[in-house]
Amino acid sequence: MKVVYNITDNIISSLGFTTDENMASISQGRSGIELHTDEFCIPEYFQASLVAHEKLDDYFRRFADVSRYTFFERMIILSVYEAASRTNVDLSSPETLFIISTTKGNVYLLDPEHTHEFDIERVNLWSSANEIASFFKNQNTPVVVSQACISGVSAILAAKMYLESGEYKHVVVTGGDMLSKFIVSGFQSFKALSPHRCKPFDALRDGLSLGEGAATIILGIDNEDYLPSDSISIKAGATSNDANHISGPSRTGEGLYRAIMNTMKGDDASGLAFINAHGTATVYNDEMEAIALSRAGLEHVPVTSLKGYIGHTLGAAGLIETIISSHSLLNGQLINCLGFTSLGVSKNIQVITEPRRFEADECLKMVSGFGGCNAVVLLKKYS
Amino acid sequence: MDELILELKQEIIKVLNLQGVKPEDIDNDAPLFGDGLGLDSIDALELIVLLEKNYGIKLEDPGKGREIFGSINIFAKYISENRKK
Amino acid sequence: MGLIINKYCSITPHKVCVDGLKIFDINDQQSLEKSLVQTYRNLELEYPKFFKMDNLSKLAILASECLLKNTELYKIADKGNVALVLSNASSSLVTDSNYHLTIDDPKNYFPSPSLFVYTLPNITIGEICIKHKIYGENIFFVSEHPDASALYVYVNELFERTNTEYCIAGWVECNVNTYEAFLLLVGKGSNGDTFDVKTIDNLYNTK
Repeated sequence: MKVVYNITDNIISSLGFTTDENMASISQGRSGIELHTDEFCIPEYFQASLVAHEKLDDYFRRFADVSRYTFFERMIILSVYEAASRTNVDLSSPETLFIISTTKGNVYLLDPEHTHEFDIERVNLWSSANEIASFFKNQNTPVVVSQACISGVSAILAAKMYLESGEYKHVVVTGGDMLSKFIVSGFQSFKALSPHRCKPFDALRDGLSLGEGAATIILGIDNEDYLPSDSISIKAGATSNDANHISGPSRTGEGLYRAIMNTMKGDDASGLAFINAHGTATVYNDEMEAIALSRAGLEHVPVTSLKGYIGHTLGAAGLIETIISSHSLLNGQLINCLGFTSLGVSKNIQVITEPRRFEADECLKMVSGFGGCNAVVLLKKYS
Repeated sequence: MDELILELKQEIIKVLNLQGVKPEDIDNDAPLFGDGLGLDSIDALELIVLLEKNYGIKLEDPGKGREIFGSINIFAKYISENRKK
Repeated sequence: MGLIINKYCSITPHKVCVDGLKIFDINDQQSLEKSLVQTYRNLELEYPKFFKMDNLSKLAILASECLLKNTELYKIADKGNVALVLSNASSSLVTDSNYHLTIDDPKNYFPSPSLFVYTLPNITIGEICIKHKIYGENIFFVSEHPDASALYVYVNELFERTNTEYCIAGWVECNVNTYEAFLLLVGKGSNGDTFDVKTIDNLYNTK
């Protein structure tokens, strides 16, 4: 049977510019979320996980012209460049497709402070995506997935479809989001931001912490008998809408529950080592996830959220968190849910409080977002 | 107070895009949320903006909105007691 | 049994067409907002939430209504096997700009939550799912032009590999000057236009 598998990956976040740097920081319990009192000309302070701009540009300058690309594009290009440096996949091949996941791309260019910096056409997601694909001399029209906070997982599932169709040999799934006045003020208007570092699933949780970043997964397709050892495959996945409200999570977890059931397709949960939840630490999101897990009969599976380490990285979240989950599967170590102390949801889910070993070889990654959207992906380790 | 109540109703209809609703359709004592006007959580957030923009009242705890938006009468009373502009 | 196009529709500021036939003209000498409301009235919709939406979501709701009305799907209460694949060029750019106006001036800084929530293109999918109780696979793509071949490959795979029985697929674009919706209802069968790249392009170009 042919399976879609992860050839290599990269994460750019406040915790580092490679997957290894991010994994190391997480295993040390580091959080990149900090208080920002005078950022983006926003009157109210906020907590967020920001990428080190100058350090990123120092790296970027080694292989490209900083002035030609927006910060959003620089994060993504560096991410793809770093990932590609560890494989011989030909990114310029007609058999390689770029899929780019983002919620807001270069929306900061609408700010009168920044409008003059680039041709305003670059605010279009397709235009920015063309710049990124062209940088790697890829001739195919890049596919852009923009689906709020599920964009990253949606993009991975779309990549799986395009690979299974036989049209492409490799898909570079990349994406990201940069924080700006636009995004931070919007979440503040929703009263969605916590004054503290976020506390996923905790009794005292009071909102999310935003983050920025980019990530890349280069996917290939091959017969499962020929996979390189220690490969992670994208075994299954599904999306479903709550069909309930455009901003409030469903009280019954309807869409997420259906996405889980369509992903598991009747498989029992015995192969699941853990579930990497969305866990934004808003009151309603975490409760909704707990309800969906309970309805799906998964209350007993260890669950974690990575938001306490890197914040909610929006269009990058599904990618970054799928990559971290993959590496967690490979190294056999559960990641504790940073910021969590005592259970604050109505179902008795098993939130991970300390890193410990496990044996199973599958995990679920879940995401949910504005518009009532939900997506789930099932990852499997091949030893 | 009657003037404030009318002004408030007109503003609510405008900022919440309540198509076909006239000020006299809104009962002063009826709950603003729930079945009546079909308002939802985004409307509540937009009313918090209205409070700050029109009356200079900054609501730190969005949970408090639920009490204040109990009815037009409660809403108007809260504004007249707390307004800064 | 292959995939066929059961029905298709298009909406522009000038006219509304179903299966290539004009069902009514729209007065194009009015604002985009007003022409959307005219279409709402012509379709005899009763959906007060419509008036709270931005133009892009209004357009998506109108197009989904045109497409599903009088089909067997319309009456099914729980559409768990209906997928939704939408795309456009401008994402939610018009609303993005409108939202930005609420934060540009430091002396008049009041970020609007009801505008912010519409600064995502996939809110259109959410609105359609709420209206029609659709729970199937869904995704939003952004491309410079309608991309029939990318759409074809993706939708085909959906039918091949997921529980999808029907798929609403197409284009909902709204910018400051104009708008355009073009939606297909794809299903399994043999009686109807074949769902392939050439037919999609043909129907789009002659709409």
